[in-house]
Amino acid sequence: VTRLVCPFCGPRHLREFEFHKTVAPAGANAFAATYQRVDSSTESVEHWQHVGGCRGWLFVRRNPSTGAVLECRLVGGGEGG
Amino acid sequence: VSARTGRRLGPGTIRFLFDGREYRGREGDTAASALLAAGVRRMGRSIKYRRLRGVLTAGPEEPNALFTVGSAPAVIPNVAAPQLELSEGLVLRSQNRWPSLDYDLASLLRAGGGFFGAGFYYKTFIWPSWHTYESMIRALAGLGEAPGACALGPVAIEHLGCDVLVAGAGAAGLAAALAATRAGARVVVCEREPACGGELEFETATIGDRAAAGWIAAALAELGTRGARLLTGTTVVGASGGEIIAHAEPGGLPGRNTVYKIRPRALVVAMGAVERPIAFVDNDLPGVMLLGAAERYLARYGVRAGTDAVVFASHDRAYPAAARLSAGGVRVRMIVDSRAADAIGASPLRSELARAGTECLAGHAVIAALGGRGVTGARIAPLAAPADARTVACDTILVSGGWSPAVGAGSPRTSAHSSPRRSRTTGSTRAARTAYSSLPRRWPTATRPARAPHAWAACAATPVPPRRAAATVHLDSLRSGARRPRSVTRSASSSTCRTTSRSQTCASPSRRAFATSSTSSATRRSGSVPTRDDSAVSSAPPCLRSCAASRLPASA
Repeated sequence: VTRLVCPFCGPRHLREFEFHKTVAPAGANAFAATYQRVDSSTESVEHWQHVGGCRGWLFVRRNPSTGAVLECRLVGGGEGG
Repeated sequence: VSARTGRRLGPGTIRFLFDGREYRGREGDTAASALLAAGVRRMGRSIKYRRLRGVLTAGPEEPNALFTVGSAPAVIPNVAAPQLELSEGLVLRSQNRWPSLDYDLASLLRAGGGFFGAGFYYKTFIWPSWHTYESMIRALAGLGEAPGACALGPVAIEHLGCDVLVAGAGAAGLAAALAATRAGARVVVCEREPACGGELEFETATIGDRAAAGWIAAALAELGTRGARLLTGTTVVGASGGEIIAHAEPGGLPGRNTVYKIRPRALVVAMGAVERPIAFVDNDLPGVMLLGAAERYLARYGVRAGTDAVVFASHDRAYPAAARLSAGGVRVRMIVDSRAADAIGASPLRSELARAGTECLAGHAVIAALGGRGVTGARIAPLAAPADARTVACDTILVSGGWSPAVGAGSPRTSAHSSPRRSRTTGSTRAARTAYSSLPRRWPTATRPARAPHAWAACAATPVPPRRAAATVHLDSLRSGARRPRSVTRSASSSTCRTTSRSQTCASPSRRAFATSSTSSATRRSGSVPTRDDSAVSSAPPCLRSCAASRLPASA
């Protein structure tokens, strides 16, 4: 990944963004959310923040092997924590 | 002792003292591995309630087995036992215990623990006066003991330039370094451990068509012939501007440190991962250890973490790990996998382990460790029904809750690729920089302390170590000097005392935060200035010396 498309600001360089965490699937209980994360080589679900721009929190789905961004939208919509 | 075979062990025998008793370890052993091999499992106590603790990890992330090295007064507190390489005649002491590790008086406090909600919340101790309890509580606080004299030597600074800096010499790091040197780049490789290979040291893996050990040796040989520089025992600790800072503490002991300031054109972060523990009741008893640490101790030092083990994990790697530990002589009674059976799937290894007498549970968790002075059993329950717990006798619980990538020096915040303005530094460095930048270039005559010579004479009598010490003293005396000349001497000497003690423990730029605070409070309490031998200043690198000197004002 070299850039993310922020829903407010448009395509911006990655250095404007800060990674926050990977996100557990919706409905996972606390134990599973903490200790049973699946590290997939094809899909990683993450929270990022656009600290160098609108400071919005982003929900990013990407392929860690290729770096392709599959989805990038604002956080919200019950994706778990 | 000599029957042990481990990848890192040499032939010689080394004698050392731990809490006054003599033990023998092998050449290449660390303090933790030698003590484990000698059957010592209790290596420390927790800070507040003095709970007995054993070694948890096999790396610098060790939270429990922290030792004080050396004899008083020149001791070095809080040295992580898994990092500390043995040398002949090494003197080690456990910490946070009085009078001894096994019988600690302050551990009686645990009986009253329920009455102090948040540990020692200080407002519990207000009647009749805080000062009634102060000295007692201060003696209990902090980690380790402040040294009475400086045991630290000079820090050497080396500047390096290269095309590619590889942080970490595991499989990924070595592969990256090989690729870079083959392309003609000048490469520097930093490895935290004294030996390269990372997990390949115990992992049964083949790379290309080679077994892991052979691949490491071949990779190192090729890197050598192509002129790459390999720095073992050197940790990449951070970045500042375009400069990557790496730090070597030979033998795991601060004292003969080298700081490398490296300006690479590209940085490869291959620092591996840190294993995560899982929370359960009493998971700090001696005998609870990370699964990866048990594997490291076995492969590197030929030390078994225990005889009867329960493995508690949440991922597939628990099974090959259990098989390797069984082959190494650890009896694995049970593998407790927290995932549901359908999430694990069938594997030939599982059925093989089951045939060999290892019970494999799915959807279960260890909910408590049992035992008073070490693990004697584990309470195991289904995650869906924690009330249906049963007890399994064992002397070791090996835990693995997955891995967190070790990105300390390579996160976007501190990487060399971010702009210099955004690079973060530690609080203390930032404070020092602020102190420097707020100093006037020349002292305005009006604010120059009227009796400054006294103040600076006091400083000269106690050699002030370089770096921010000079700046701190300077600011203090400036402030008080502007008000009343008489207080200059007092404030300058007290701040000299403070900065001197701080710089002794801070000479190692990484952790030691606890030691720092306890040092300064100890100094303040006793009111004495710790002695420091003069060589500390003169042996400082020239750049630091001139830096400190240039901040001194022209004498009045």
